[in-house]
Amino acid sequence: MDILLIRHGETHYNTEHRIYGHAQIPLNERGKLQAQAVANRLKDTPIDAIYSSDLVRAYATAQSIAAHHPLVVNTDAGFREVDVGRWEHLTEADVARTFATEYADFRTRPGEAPYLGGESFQQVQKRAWHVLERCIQTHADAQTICIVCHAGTISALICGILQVNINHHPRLRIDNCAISRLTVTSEGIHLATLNDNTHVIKSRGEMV
Amino acid sequence: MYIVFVRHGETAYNASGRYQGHTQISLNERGFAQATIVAQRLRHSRIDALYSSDLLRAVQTAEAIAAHHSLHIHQHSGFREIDVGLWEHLTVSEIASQYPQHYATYKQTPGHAVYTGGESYALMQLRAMDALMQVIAQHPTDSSICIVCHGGTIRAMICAFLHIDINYYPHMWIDNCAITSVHYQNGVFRIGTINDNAHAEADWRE
Repeated sequence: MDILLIRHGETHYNTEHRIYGHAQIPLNERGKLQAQAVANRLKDTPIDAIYSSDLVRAYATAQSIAAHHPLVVNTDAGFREVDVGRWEHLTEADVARTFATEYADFRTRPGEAPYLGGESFQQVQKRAWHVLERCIQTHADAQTICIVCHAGTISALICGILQVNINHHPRLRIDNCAISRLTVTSEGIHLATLNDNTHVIKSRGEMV
Repeated sequence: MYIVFVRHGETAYNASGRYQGHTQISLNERGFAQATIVAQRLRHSRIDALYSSDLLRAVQTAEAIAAHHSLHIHQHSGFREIDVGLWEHLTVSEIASQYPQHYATYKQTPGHAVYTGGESYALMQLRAMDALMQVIAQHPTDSSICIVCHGGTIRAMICAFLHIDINYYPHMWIDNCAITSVHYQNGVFRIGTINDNAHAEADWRE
């Protein structure tokens, strides 16, 4: 089984570097173009199911992909981004100033330390892993499924697959609308590709 | 520093599933075509220095990349594939029947088992990282470096970058001529892509 993990397109919170977690922020114009670029790349790929986080930025990206396939998007809150609690809507500079102690702890162990009043990436890994396993059990070996979600969710899942210490999750780059691919066999889950976003670069008319 | 790793193109041994290790085997026709395509993809990329494992299949791939850039190929034996010792030239099923005990040990601890008469992944990782740190030390921190090497070597280095137990290297895959990129700053490696092979998709060829 092939599993394509796709990050949502850009929002204005991405460009303003705001922490948004579960805030419902729509794709911006650039994000919509990125979503079209990934949808276009996958238009001839046989896809058997599309799952998405229920946050609007992921769901809208998933809808762009579904437009080329006879599929409905199944949403699941288990694929949501980390809940950032009281830091929602703030920039990192705001957080460093207002919550100096908690922020220092967060910087030291960015996988284990929870966002103030929210989740840790370790918790995200656990809940996302649970729904990923359910997806794997639902589909036959030869199928390809698409899961549209978030940078934190994707990097936490990949840390789980490769047994990377969750505190190292920021070392994995996950760009807007990039594709990371997992293959599932009787020997387990393998990482086939991390962060292929050539379609986004190409859609901007740049050399890849 | 930006470092892009490219796996060599296909050889007859890749196509027939034989272990090649340090065998001096040429790219096959498909491998040369793959090398041309990845070289096309990288032709506008900034490359300040080009390195290659000194095994023929890597050097031939590096030559295709060098053709678009006026660069000398620095060959370094530290970037060689794992030495598979007596398993060289054999397929997995031949190894399983001829060396059942060693093969069982390998399946159990793929990172630490020593290939009979060759190396372990753990040892290869040390020499590859040693070679990489030598390369990094020789260039300014804002350089862009391309290193052509091997599927095993690239995966072993990724394990080092992310502090992954070397026994987990088989949980990743690197295709012929696929690109893996990393940023190195202040002793930390951050991964940009692993096994980006978009250039192998028909629509992406020019």
